Amino acid sequence: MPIARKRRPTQAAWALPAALTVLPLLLAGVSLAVGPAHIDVAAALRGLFDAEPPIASIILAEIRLPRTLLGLMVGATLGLSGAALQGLLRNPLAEPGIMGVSTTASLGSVIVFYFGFSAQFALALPLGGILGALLSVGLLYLLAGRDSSVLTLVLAGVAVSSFAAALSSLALNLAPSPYAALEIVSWLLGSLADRSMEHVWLTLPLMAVGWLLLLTSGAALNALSLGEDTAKSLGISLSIARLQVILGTALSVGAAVSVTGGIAFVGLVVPHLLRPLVGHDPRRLLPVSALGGAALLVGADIVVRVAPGPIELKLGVVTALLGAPFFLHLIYRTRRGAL
Amino acid sequence: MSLLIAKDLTVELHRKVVLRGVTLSVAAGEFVGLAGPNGAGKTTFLRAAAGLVRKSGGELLIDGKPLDGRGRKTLARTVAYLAHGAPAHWPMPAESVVALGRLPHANTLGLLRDHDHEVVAAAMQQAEAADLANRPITELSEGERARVMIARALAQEPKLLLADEPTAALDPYHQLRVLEILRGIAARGGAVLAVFHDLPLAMRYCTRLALLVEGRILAEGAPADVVTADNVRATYGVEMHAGPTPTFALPYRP
Repeated sequence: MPIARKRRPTQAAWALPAALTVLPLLLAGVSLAVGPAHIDVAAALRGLFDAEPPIASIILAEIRLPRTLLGLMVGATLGLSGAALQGLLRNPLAEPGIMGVSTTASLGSVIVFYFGFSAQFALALPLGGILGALLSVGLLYLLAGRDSSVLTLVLAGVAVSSFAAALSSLALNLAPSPYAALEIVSWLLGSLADRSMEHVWLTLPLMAVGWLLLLTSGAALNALSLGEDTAKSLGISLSIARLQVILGTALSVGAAVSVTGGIAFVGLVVPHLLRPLVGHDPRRLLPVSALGGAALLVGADIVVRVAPGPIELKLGVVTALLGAPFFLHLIYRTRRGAL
Repeated sequence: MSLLIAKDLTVELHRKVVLRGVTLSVAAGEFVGLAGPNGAGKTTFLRAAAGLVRKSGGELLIDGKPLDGRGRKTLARTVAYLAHGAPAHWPMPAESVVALGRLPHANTLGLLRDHDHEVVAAAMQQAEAADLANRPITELSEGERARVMIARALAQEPKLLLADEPTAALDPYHQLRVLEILRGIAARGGAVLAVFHDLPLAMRYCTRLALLVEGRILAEGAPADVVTADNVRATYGVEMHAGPTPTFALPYRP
């Protein structure tokens, strides 16, 4: 009898991560295979290590591979940070995009763009994004960390977000040329197109440190589900846990946004959909949200590429179009206390 | 062996003195009740003993050693704290909530081993919550929740259990049931310190009672000796209506 009771949750605990590991890999394969140029993937792979690789191999290695890898990395970042922020603030509406983290990270990158730091040294862009993200997560925590009522949190996010957006607009307003303005706008919309392997190598270490910080905060997030006093009485250091989630979010989201621009709502939708499947356990939600986020973003990026039309849609525009109604739906359900 | 010894303990919160020299001890096998008017400092005393607020003076020993020098995790293996009306933010199954009690014994990632699952099952049995294992914590009644929370505290395998108003918001049946569970913990060699507002219940179940008034212990000892007409008047400003046995004593306004 006790054995039967123990087996069942163990099986369920492994089946989901297994399925969620396969899914992003499958989608990554599809993502490498589709695009405006029709290439023979098998031939392109064979030609990769030729002395003079065919054009198909160059497309695969230098256009589609970075795009796919960044999709996986940024998706994982958004899913994971969304799950961690929701756990820390014990609120299903927390998300890097809604809470203004993405906006301030964008602002940091815009400032770097604007003053031309990015031309001076390559790390300036992700660092700008991380500083921006750090500022907003810290500010949000001061404003709404202890009393994490939905209203305070969302309002604080709106305030931080609008201020950062206003500053970004100011940069646009003062942009030296229409081309510079266009470049900033196009980047702000959020996209995975035209990124290079350099972007991957630049941001992967920063994101990896962020992921590690977030993934190891699980025990604290679980304890926090019973409130701060109980968490402390269970031996959890809240100051360390807060620092872990704030730094982890700033590092990973800051680096992600500095490469792809703002991609909203992935961090909201993914943990919300997966939470019931892990028994609402905040710690188990972390890795599956990372995997789910990676799958969702790569999947969405495939959709914007294969969707018919004269101009490729920006990924950030598409996720916002789908995510905003979802957010409204969540607010409605939270109001009825059905969460 | 006293698991909790407070000597002349003072605590300040927001520059206001809440505890003004409290001396109280709880030994293994004891179920000590702490009663007193609202704002007397009962919860603050419990929180100080749980390491949640800093003392500003006096001594506080847990299991023979000063509380201040202990790490949070080490303390959590000795002392469990049942907060009053503790929230449950996610609809986790009751069993997962109880398993949180194993965190002080787990590694940094909080992963549980087979032994931990056994302790969780035993704790749920002891707190009469085994039948609730798969129910979401947010959908339980107050009485069921109280049992799950006690199981969570027991899963810590604490030597000392601090319970803040464990019977508040419970119906009479669950009040008695929860107190029987707490009394059982003490009877098996545990030490329990609980805050009470219900004097008759405290008198019936506690092995010892202390009355806390304005941050000081007014009286302390065997329940029947503590709950006297004079003490009740001095503590709450109400009269007492006592029955023929010491188990029947009601605060009373004529």
